[in-house]
Amino acid sequence: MPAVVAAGLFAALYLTFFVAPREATMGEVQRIFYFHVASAFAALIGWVGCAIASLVYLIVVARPTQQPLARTIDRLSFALGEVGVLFGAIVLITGPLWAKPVWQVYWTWEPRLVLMLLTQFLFIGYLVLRAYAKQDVAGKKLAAGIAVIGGPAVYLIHVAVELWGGNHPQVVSGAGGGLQHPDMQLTFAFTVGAILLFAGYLVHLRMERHRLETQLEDTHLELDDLEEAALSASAPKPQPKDSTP
Amino acid sequence: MTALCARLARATIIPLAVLAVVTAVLCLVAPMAAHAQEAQPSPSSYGAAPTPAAPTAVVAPNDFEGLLRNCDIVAKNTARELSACNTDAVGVDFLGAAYMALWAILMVFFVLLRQRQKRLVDEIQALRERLARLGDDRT
Repeated sequence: MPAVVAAGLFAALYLTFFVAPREATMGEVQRIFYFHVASAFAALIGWVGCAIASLVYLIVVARPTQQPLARTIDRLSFALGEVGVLFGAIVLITGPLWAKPVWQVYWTWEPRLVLMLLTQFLFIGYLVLRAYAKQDVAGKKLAAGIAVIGGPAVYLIHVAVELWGGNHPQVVSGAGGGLQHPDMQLTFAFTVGAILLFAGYLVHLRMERHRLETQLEDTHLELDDLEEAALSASAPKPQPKDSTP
Repeated sequence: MTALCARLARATIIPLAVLAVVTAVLCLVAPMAAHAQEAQPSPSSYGAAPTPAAPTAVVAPNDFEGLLRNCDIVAKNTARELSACNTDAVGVDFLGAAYMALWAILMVFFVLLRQRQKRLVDEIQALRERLARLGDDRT
């Protein structure tokens, strides 16, 4: 799996720098587009996945017979949230670096950018709360509730340009035109695929880490129980009271 | 378990490190290679085709005004090309910075993930040993 992911990223880099033609009006800097937009897709999919998984967790956790499933869904939701925030950070860093030479400013308070930033903060809040909750079910439920609120925010990011306008062109939806050259289309499609595959691999790794953490906590509990039992066994037994005067 | 974790880390860290180096080289080499070639106008990703430069007209002998007009056109075209060249030079810096930031974030994420996983595996191993010792003491 790691080899496939690395090969996909190598191929995406090759296409970005050697196959995709130089864009006529923006020049070389437009090559940021391929990884920037692909990272945005990964972030949005991660956040939507986190919101959906959190909703499912809230439903499943109420059923006592489905606790193992609830734990798995909780781990999935946590991992999706983390990977969404990781790629969200990449989008929020590469975006201004692209905007400066093209728009002449690093940042502008347009609806899509503001919503992206706020959603990033919201999911960072989710991660902090979820990490603090550890195995506490009430804390997990509270964190899941926050993630569920993030779902509509992701939809608003997607439709922000259509609803409120802004500097972002609608390249992918087609309304703003663009990516007419077949090599540009190929590079974009391939990069999106490679980044999504990479994001999926990261989710898998994070889930594995959360599984290890749960295992560690369970082992700690088991050890505490055993040590307590050993202590009570080795303690001197109280002498029975002699009833004779 | 430790060996598996180490293998997993090697399998992910090394390709990512190579990717970071390759990206750095690409950011430096690819724009230079592109500049060395004749600039090929490609379709704009925003749908707007670039404005073609005004051609210089054929000037009749002794038509000094025509010559001056051609001089103006040449000067304008040169200025436009210089401006495009400057924009591209600035853009290459930002392109390099963006890709460096991207791979730096991913590398930091992976290194932290690897360290945490290694710590977890070690801790679980130590706890299991303590559990086994306790079990032996009880028997």
